[in-house]
Amino acid sequence: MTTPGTAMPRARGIAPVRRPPGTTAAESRWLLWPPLVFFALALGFPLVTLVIQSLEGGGSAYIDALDVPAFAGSLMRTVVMAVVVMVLTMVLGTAYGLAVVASPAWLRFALLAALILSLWTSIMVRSFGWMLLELPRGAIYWFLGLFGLADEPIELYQTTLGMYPAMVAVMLPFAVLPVMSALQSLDREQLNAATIFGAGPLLTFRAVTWPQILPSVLSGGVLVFVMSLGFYVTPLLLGGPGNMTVSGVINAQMNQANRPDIGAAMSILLVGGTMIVYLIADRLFRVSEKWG
Amino acid sequence: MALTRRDLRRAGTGLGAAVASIALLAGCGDDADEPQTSSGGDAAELSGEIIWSDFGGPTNEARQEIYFAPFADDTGVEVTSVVVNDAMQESMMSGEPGDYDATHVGLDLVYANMDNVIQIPAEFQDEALPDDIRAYAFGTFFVGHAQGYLTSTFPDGGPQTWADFWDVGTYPGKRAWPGTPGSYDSSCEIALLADGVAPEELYPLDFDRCSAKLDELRPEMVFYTSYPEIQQLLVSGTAAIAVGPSGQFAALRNAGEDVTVSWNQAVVAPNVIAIPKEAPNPDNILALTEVFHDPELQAEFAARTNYGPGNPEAYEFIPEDVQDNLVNAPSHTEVVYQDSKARSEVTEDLLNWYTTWLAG
Repeated sequence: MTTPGTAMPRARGIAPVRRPPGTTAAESRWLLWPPLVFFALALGFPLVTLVIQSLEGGGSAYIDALDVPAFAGSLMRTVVMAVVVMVLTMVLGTAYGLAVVASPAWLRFALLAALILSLWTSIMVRSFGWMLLELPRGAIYWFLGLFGLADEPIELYQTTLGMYPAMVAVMLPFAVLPVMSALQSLDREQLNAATIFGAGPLLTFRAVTWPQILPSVLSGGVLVFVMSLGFYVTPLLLGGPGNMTVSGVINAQMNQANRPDIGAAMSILLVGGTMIVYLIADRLFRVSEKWG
Repeated sequence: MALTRRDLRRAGTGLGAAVASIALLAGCGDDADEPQTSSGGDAAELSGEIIWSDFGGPTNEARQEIYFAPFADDTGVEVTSVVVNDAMQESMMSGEPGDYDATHVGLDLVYANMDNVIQIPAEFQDEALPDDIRAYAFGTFFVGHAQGYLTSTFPDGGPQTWADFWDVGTYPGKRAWPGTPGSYDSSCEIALLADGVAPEELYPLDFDRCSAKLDELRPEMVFYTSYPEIQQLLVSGTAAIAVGPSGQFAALRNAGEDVTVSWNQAVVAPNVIAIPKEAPNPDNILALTEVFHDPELQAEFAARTNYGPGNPEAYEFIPEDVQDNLVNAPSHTEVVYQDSKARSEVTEDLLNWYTTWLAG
């Protein structure tokens, strides 16, 4: 079938070189336009509007934004929070993804169903559910009480500790799904080969599995980080106002202070600040090179 | 070009409003002679619609049934309710054109934009509003910021004043408190009253003193991010006492809970409907102000929403047990009125102060 030669066959059953789409002039012309137009409308237009709005007063909105006393603090708090959520979610999401792939069929179905159901449920509803769990005499208190473990109402609601589980739960699907798809496209023969050559499970994981899923773990992490910057209700409800994010401050400027220009300037500062953080992280850890 | 058109439209609106006022006055003159055709006379001159913006929910439903339905029957003018879009409200309250004929605002926003709203005919003004603002708003309803608790929490009598609210020794348990930047409500006033400031000396607000007083109670506070959470926090036993709009306590009572509200030092916050200068249908909305001033309809609205009426005559039609839920009822002599004018001068400071204190 394949021509004999020194090159190793790539993977099983790969068809002889098939030209990927988008290589002829006509294809690239027509296939590129729909996504470009979509992004221009859905991403570019709102962003440009935001920039214009923030510059309405000739840039004074940026100075006003920095003058809003709660802004700088909440910005720092938001970034730190997003990093913590990102790290926790990456660790837990990778473990969850591995569990899904390694489980027997019935458990895999249950794990996937739990993940997808949570993705389908509104973030408000889920946050409120966590509130019912964490209230001093809530569901956790009741559950511990069944085993005689809770004598006094628990102090979890509106603490920093009470906030992270909910945020990680909200973000988990975005870290699990990429890892899972990477695991599923993993060539099982490589695992067999590793075993045949005498590698134990740990070495197989470290030398074969991990390098192949790392890009997905990282891209999931970046996704979670960026989405976490937008947290508003969950930390305010479950972490208390001491954990107020920058979204809360922006929302107040837009809706209560009637200063959409300041809100826009704050949003731009948030996006710009995030990009700078990302570029520095990229320099240090070469994240983008590892993207799949 | 655009400017000219806008100017023309503006001039047209002013003229329309003037005509409407005259028509209404004339209509009232007729009323006395032939009461049966009273609204028929107006109906001939009105057509089209009204775009009404408020915050929806049960309050809007009550308005539709109590005020809008009879108005539509009499005049043929349909009132379309929309939920307030902040950007639209903001631009119309600063005098620019837009869709709204009427919009729900706090009285302080009316003080800040008196030049940009259409005045109400004298006979339909709500007398419960201060003299200097009475002509600029209608549809008044008074929200009370009060403390409430499940009666069973304090069987020997619960907290009365705001000083009691701060007294966690005598009245132990967490205090439910508003926890989003925009929900400063009467937080500063309440803190000052608790600190012993006399009601007539609350303004201008001393933010540092408010923060210091609030800091004292912060460890005992549990925060809510939307008003209905108050009910959840009280019923679940998470909070012993809650501060909030009195409607939440009424809702708990309707759900079968035994709730006590202390009206002693409760803070009265006036909410109103303003007619922006550029309202597209000024004749129609000015005609609607007559319906809104009717004391019997206001009594019905108060009974249904638990918000206090703006026309004092309405109290003649409100039963005693309903009156007890209304912050400005004649029997509630110890309530404290917000000074909307003073607050309108520090709107931005209030928001920044509260956001900073919350995040601290």
